[in-house]
Amino acid sequence: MAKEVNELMKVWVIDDKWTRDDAQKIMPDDTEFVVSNVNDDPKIISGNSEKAWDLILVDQNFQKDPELLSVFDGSGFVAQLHAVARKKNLKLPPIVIITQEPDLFANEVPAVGPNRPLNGGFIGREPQLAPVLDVEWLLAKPEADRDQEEVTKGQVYDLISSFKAASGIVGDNGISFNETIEFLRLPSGEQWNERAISDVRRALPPISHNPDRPDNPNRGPVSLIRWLLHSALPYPGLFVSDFYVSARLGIDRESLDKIVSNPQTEWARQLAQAAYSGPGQKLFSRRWWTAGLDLAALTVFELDRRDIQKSLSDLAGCTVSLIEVADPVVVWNEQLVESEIVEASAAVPVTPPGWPAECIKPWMLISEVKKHPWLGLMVDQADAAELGIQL
Amino acid sequence: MKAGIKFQPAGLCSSLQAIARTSSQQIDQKGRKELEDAASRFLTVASIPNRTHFLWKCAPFATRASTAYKAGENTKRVFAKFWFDWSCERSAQDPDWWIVYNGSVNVEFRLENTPDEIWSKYHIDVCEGGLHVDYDGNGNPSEELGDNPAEKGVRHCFSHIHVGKNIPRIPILLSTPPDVLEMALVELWPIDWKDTVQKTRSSESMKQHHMRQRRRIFSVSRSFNALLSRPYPLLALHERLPEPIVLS
Repeated sequence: MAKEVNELMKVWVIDDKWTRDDAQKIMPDDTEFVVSNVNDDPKIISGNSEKAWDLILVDQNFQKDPELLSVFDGSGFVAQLHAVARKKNLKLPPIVIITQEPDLFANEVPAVGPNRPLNGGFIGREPQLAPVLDVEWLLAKPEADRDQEEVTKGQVYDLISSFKAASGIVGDNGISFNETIEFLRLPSGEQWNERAISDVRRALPPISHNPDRPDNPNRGPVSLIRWLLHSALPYPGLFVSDFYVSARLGIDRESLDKIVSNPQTEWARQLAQAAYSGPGQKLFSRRWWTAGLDLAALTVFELDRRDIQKSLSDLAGCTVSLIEVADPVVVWNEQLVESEIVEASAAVPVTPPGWPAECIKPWMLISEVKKHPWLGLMVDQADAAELGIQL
Repeated sequence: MKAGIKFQPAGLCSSLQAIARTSSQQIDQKGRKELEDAASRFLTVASIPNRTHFLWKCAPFATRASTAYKAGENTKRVFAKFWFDWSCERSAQDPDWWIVYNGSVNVEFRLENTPDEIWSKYHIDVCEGGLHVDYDGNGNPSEELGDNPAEKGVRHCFSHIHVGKNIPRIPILLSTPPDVLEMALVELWPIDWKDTVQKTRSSESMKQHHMRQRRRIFSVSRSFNALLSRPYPLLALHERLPEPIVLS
């Protein structure tokens, strides 16, 4: 049965040290939460797993001996939770690992990219690591800092409300395509709607709708969250980041902010509407509907290019600064994080293992892929031969 | 209604994308990006219901250089420069279909050691046939035709190749950007291109492209059937098309 979206948000926190007061700092208003101490309660799972949670936050480091046959850390606990859910046919909410030590997973090999360990913290690389740990997301516990706590609180709220929205829309008979569109809050009435809907189809959402019987409860509405956070939002395809918008329109990111913060023309209004404001938005830097960007970029492409700075400023209704790069492409760094906009001849498209096939292929600096054989391997063989990239 | 060639953008764009994703041995990363971007632009335009005209173009880019086009030693390294511009109008009757009524697809071959000079070229025109008419960006004739149309411009065949200059104009079966581009690649790499298509990961999408290409060529060839009943078949080639050729 569909959940009521306006009821209290219920969060279960599993930690070895955190008290209620610690957890309170990152809890949004209207949240009812329980903090379970892994050391105090041997029946922690059986007592809690069947409750209707909207989010499960699991600490990673339980300070236990890994040699003993027991759950000794958060990711082990998650495996146990999934095992219980399988056995009992439970529908789990998003599970999030929350830790003070983002470096704990430094030796883990991410789900996307070369077969190399993370070699550092997970911040900015959550979508690459979360599938490996079979969780929906990872959060760093905020330092004693009000701003950081507010950011984390916003992210927790986003995770809870995304799941509540998904549950409310999807119900228990699987996920349909129309439910996916509703979940994503596609702005209506824009000229690019049809294209956006076809982009959603191409992005392969986890459609499982079966009107006749309930879906596998273990991975119900949370599949939608998982698809959104692990594939649709992080990689360019259905959505893109400010980097791609800037490269496509040929304007710098400050100008982009100026245009959309106070749109002065119909073109600027349409562009502002293309900014993504649906579930998961607080977990990423700003995202845009690619279909909306395509339309805005088409208008730019058809401008009189003799004085492009003036033409663009007229179109945007304010003075814009151009990016000083001819033929721009967005490049991703060695860690597969977007890093800068460069000229296409300085970069090369790559095919990282695990990169969603339906997404736009990333580009990397030629100088960067020449440094490491594991990056060179992702370059097309003909490009590698032509550019002198040794494997 | 404008005549010319009637097509669905999705098919031509998929063909262009298939070539872009297959041709890394023949086209560098910048050229492949130009092709992808050109395809994406038309798909965007096609998805906007109130867009009725579009100048579909692809900026010039160079292929890699080849010596495979001719047997023997001391073969000069040659590359092709490719670009196109097609003036298109959405069909009022079938909004999923567009008609190209004016424009060209261009291939210039150049020697690698003298890249600024054109070594040989071909320019494949698409037009409605009949009198030559220039159009503005909205598809309107840019100049009124006078009382004596014979004084204005030259007569065109509907789809023809210029080799070098304005004449000769030789009727041709190939007309679309992906097919003309592939022809240039086949000219430069007559044997390797087949290997490339078979060995790359995108060979499945190339199979679909070739299926569509077969149908496109057949559609154009079928339009020549009308000449069978004409007293002056060659002159008939210069008449305005009574209706668009449909690339089914």
